[in-house]
Order: sequence, then C-alpha cells, then structure tokens
Amino acid sequence: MTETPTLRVLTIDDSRTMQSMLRNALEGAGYEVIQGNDGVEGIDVLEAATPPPAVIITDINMPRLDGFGVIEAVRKMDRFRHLPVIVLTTESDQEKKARARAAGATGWIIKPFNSDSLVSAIRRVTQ
Amino acid sequence: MDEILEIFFQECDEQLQELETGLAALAADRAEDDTVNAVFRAVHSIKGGAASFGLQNLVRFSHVYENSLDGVRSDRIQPTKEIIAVFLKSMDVLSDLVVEARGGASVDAQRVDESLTELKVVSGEAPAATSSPAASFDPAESEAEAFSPVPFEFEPVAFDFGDDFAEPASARKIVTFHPHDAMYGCGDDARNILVALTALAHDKGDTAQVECLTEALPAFHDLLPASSYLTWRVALPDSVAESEIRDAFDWVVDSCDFTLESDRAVTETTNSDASDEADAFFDAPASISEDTIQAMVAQSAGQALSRGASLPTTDRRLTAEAFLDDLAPPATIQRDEEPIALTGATVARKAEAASIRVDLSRVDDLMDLVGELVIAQAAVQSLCQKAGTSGHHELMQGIEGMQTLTRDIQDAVMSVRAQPVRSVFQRMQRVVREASSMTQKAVKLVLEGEDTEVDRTLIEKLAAPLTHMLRNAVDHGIEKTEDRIAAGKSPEGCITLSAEHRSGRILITIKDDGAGVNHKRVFETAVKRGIIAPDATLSEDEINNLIFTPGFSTASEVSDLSGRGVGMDVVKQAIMSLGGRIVISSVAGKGSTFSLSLPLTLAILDGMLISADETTMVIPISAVSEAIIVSQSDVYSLPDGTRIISKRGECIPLLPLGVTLGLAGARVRDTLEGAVVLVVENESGSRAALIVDEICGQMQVVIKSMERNYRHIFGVSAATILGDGSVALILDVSALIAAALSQTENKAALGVSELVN
Repeated sequence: MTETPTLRVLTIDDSRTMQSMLRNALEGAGYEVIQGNDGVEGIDVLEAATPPPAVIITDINMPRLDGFGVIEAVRKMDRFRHLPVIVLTTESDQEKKARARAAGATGWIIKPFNSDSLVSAIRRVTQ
Repeated sequence: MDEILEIFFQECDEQLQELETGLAALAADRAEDDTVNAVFRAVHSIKGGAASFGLQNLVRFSHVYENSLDGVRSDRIQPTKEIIAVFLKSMDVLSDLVVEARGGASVDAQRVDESLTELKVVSGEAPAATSSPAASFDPAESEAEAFSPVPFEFEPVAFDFGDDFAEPASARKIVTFHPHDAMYGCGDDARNILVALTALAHDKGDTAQVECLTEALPAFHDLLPASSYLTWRVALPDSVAESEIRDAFDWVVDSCDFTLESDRAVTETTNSDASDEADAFFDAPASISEDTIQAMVAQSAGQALSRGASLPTTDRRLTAEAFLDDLAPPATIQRDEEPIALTGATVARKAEAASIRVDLSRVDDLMDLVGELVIAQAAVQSLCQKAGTSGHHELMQGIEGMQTLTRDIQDAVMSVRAQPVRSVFQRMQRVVREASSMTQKAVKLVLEGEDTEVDRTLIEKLAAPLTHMLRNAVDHGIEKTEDRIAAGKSPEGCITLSAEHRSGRILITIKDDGAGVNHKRVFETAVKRGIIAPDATLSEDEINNLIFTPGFSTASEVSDLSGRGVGMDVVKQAIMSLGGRIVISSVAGKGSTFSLSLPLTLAILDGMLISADETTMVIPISAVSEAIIVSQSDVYSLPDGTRIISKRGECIPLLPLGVTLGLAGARVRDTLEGAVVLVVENESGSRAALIVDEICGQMQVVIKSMERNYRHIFGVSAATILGDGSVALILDVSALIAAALSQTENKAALGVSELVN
C-alpha cells in the first residue's frame, strides 16, 4: 500500500479532550488536522478550508448543531455532497448509527478508539 | 498523553459545573430548551473521555447516569423534585469519582452503588427499591450487560496459522456486492470497498481478482449518472478470514447487497488448477466487450465525476488495480479548488467572537506591565510638575489624557482576570446539600448575583471561608424542622448567598431565615469561656461579634459539621487576610446576616501613604481603624520605657514605627504631644498604635512581592513603586502588632488598669 499524501482531516467535537486525542493520533499518522469545536464551527471551518479536508470526523452530541445536523448540512453542499463523514460516538447502539446513516454518514468509529482503528477508518475512505 | 489527561480533568471540572448549572435550572423550574441536552452532554463527555483513559469507575458511573438523563432528554421521564435530587446526589458522587481518578481520595463504594441503584430506578433499569437495594442489585453484573465499549477494529486481526495450516491456495472466497444508490449518497464508493478487500488479499501476500458484472447496466441514453448499476465480484484467497471481509462491509450493511461464498461452484465451472484459476479471474474483465466497458466507464465516471474525479482511460484490460488507479483520490482533486477568501474571513471573525484560552501567567504578566505603566505614567507627571511645566496647558492636557487611558487599560486588564463568582457559589450548593442531609434539616440555598465578577485569585480563596460559613448557617443558624413549624415558619430553611459590587469592593452576604443569634446563650458562653466579665454590659452588636472571638462555640454538642470551636474566628482571619471585613447582624427569630466586604483584587491594594523618619511607606487601609493626634496626657510609660496610649478606656501599645523597623536615623521621641498615630488592627482584633511623622495620602498601589524579588523582611509584606519611581514598602500589620504585643504583653497585664484608672 502506498503512503498517503498529507491529507487534511476535519475533526468536529466539543470536547477538548477528544480533540486533543484525535489531533495526537492523526498527526502521528501524518495527517493534517483542522478542528471545529461544535457543529456550527465545523461547517464554517469546512467552508473556509483551503485545501478542503479529505474526510470529516464528527462527534454526535454537541451544542448548537449536533453530528446529525453536520452530516445533513455537508450532504446539502454541492462541493461536499460526497465527502466522507465518519461519526465518532460512544454509543454502540444501532439507533444512533442508523440515524447517522440515514443522515448520510459514511461510517462510524466507536469511542474509545485507538489510533490504529482511527487511521484504518480514514484509510478506508480516502485511499 | 499526560497533557491530554490534564485537559480531560480540566474539562471534567467545566462539565461538572455545567451539570450543576443545568440541574439547578431544572430544580428551579427555569430550564430552557437546551438545558436537559447540556446536562446530558456534560455527563456524556465525561464518560467519553474517561473511557479513552480507561478510568473504569468513572465510565461505569457516568454511563448509568447518562442513561437516566437520556430518559429525561427523550421525555420518557418527568424530572420530578425527587428525581432531580437523585441527579444532584449523583453529581456529587461523579465529582468525587473525578477527584478519585485524579489521584485523590477514593470514593466509598457503597455510596457509589447506592447512587447507581437510585439512577437505575429513575431510568427504569432497576425496580423501585422496596426492600434493601443491595439484595436486588449486583452492580458488576448489570453493568456488564449495560455497557461494553466495543473498540472499532477495522484492521484485520492477525490470525496467521502459517502455510502448514492454511487451506490450499486454490480455495478462494468469493465476495459479491452491489452498492445501493444510498451508499454513494453517504460519501462512500464501491472503490473504497474494493481497496479494502484487495488490501486484505495483499496482507496475506496474495492478490484479489475483481470482476465487474454489468448485466444491470441499461443502454447509455437510459443511464442515470447518480444510480448504481454495477455489481462487483471479488475473489480473495481463502486465508482471508470471513470476519475480516464482513468488517470491510461493516459500514455498508444497510446500503449494499453483499454475499460471501466459497468458490466451489466457480472451481467446478472453470475446472482449472489453482494458478490458472487465479489468472482466469484476473483476465476475466478482458472478455467484456468494448461497449460494456464504455458504459461501465460512463457510469463510474458519472459517480466519480460527481466527486470530482477525472475520466478513467478505456483500457481493455480492466483490472482492479488499473481501474482504481484511474480514479484519482478525491482529496487530491479537491485540493485544486479555488480558495474562497471571503468565507475564510468570516470564519476567522466568528472564531474571534467566541473565546480563546490564554495561559494565566500571560495575563498576570500583562497585569504586571500595566502596573509598571501606571507607575511610569505617574513618574512622567511628577517630572513635568517638577520641571515647572504647569503653564503648558497642552502638555498638561496630554498627560491627563494619558492618565485616563492608563486607568482604562488597568480596568480592562483587571476585567480579563475577573471571573464571575458563579463557580465558587455553585460549589456551595453541594456544601449546603451535604450539611442539610447530615443535620436532617431541610435547607435550600438561593444564589443571587452569581455573575458578579472578582479577580480570579480572590475567587479561589473565597471557597474555604464560604464553606465554613454556610455549614455554620445550616448547623447553627437554621432551626430544627419541628422548631420551625412551631415558630410558624416554613419547614424548609432558606439561606441566601448573594454578591454585588459596592464602591469598588465586592459585598458578599450570607443570610439565613433561622432563629438569629441567641444573645443570652452567646453572652453566657462568652462568660464561661472567660472572654468577657460576668458583669460586662454589651450592646447587641457587641454580643453578635463575640462569635468571632477565638475559641468561641455555642453548639452544645460538637457536631461533625462545624463543631470543634474553630468556627467564625478562623473565617474572620481568612477574610481579613484577604483585605476584607466581616460584619454580622441578627434579628431574633428572623435570622442572621453575615456581610463580607472584600477588595476586587489581590494585585492592587488600597493603601495609606505615610512617612516615618523620612521614609515613605504604605499601610493597607483595611487594617487602619483610626488616626489620632496624640495628647501627651493619654500616654503612659511602663517601667521599661515602652509606652501605651489610652483611648476610650482601652490601652493600646505604642510602636515607634521607624525604630521598630530599624530605619537609619530613627530615634524615640521624648514627647508625643501632637504626634500622629495610626491605630491598626489585625485579623484577630488585636491593636497597636503606630507612631508616624505624617499621613501623606491615600492611593491604590500595585503589589510587588518582596520575597520573590529579594527576601522576607520583618514588618514588611510587599513593596510597591510610587509615582516618582521610588520604592515604598507595604507594612505587614500583623507582624507589627505581634511585636508590639510581645513588647508589652506582661507589663500590660501587670498594672495597666491601675495606670488608666
């Protein structure tokens, strides 16, 4: 498998702990990380990002705009209609997954994650 | 990782506060739409972080807590008063578990289990406890069912039994899948699955063969670009485990038809040996007609174009690799898009409008610099005056303008450091909750003016005295429930904790609606403790203030809470050491009110500028109780030469300031007629009279630590820089009083009263 070029990953999470862990893991794997601290900010960052991210990783429970809202918003944007969005959630229950899926999530990562699982999930949609 | 853990704990504190705020709003019935969500999110975030760090106790508890809150969030559960009480109690446990995780005291397991049971009753996971909760509840067992974090594993599990155990290379696993339109709508692509599957084969040192089935492909003019027509068949080496293959489809089980079979049937039809078979698969697409490829390409292009890919070449040998290589990774393409400068600017502005986190030391540095600026500004002013520029109207105007600006900057920096008292006030809810459950009294705490801002250094120091005072209020202030009912009051006691700004200081009041100070009992106790004489006549106010005397306690039984008799005098000392004052007022049967007046900051001090033996010094104004012009007839000398002054029947030791501090050229004056003395008082009410030459004025001074810059000096607490650039020492009043007392201690006891009378 060839080494991926420096890809940008947009992480959207209101928890600084989670954001730090994501940044740690992703930068360690050679990705560039841009962050949004809630859904609204995430969408703003996405619109402004140059170059745009190759994938979005978003939390579900967030103030202002939750993860479902983020996915729906992304799917409505012409430029990002097909951008992979991976939801990050502690809930392993089907209900959350199904809702995220219906909103247009590409996949999910269950917290707590390890960096290997995170990176392979990103590779799954960016190679 | 340690850094992140630290962030996590910081965040826990914030979340706990959020939780407290939210629950308080729920309890007070002023919850807004998002309140329940915010409360839920707080616990949820703690759980998420805790799980990442393997903090099992925290995960276990927050999970159950979260479930109960989820019930409220989804309107399954009505948050009754009882339920909110359970939530509040659980919040305290959660907060203690965070402390425990941080390496603090471990939490009593029984307390945790008790809260867990209550939470489960709320969420309906456990039956309402009619008998002993322990009997029907096994936390370990129900936990295991309730929550098992499943780490996402995408990477194949490395089951490698070696070649000896592997099935013959001939056996293949055939995966057939057909993505639905929906899969493309979710930002996914058949390509991603193909990559994942071929990677599985590569991991086993083998290759995968991909075949594209195009039967469903309509004629070109009927083709809808966004629809999915193709079915893919992938042959993988048998060493690839079924679970690995299923994992590759984990995200698309609902949006992709997928079958997995062994290749027996295929082997039969091709009827060839292993290597040939592989080749056959590899070459399979070559047999597809050129038209089909065109159509296939068109479809792929349709899907690919929609995400910005270029057209694949129409190579006749369409192998998996070639096909995949043609589809450039989406990221590379999206990179080419034009920057949208305008939106970028909008985002930047939004981010600024929110908030930033700044290291506290930077703000402190800024504060220091502003202090220097104030000094420099004053220096310029005094230089100008010296140079006789008072006639230069414009110059003076300029200086005045600068002075105003400097003061504004000082205020602005102060406001950066300022924080609402909310954080410490809200912690008091718990204090009162615990105290009321311990004393079996129903007490509610009402907070007012939580948004009042004070310097953060002060906020941290408020917690201890406030805790003590509130416990006291519950323990001693509020009557027992039956007494309240007998007195015609509401059975639930009410304590109001409020904060407000008043003339450059913060005023904090703690008001209870209890019985008020029992003057008779306080008086009797004071006599018993030898604090006052049995025949003393004291005003009500003086009696009230007796409770601040060291060693005074009226509680007939020493309670767990506030007993041991170290009560209010310790509080008073703490408040005074912050440059504050404390006053009590009380109405029998109606309750007591404690008023605390504190400076807004510990970085700036209201000082009285004095001079003694040609040295200018600063005395904290809060310590000065009065200034007197001495009349020689009030001064008495003790046999060893030390002197005392009598003021309103009280003897105060006189301290020649210059001599005490050992200033050069200082000498004791023969007569004190007309001399200026300042009566200063320490935290415990002891006094001394400092003999000074002159009172020069009153000003705000920026406190500079002596110990950090030089070393500790007797009688000096800190230093400051005056307008003319000179350094002035800020006097340590407590130390001076202690010196004066030790000087006169024994002698005063000897015959002072005789001298006076």
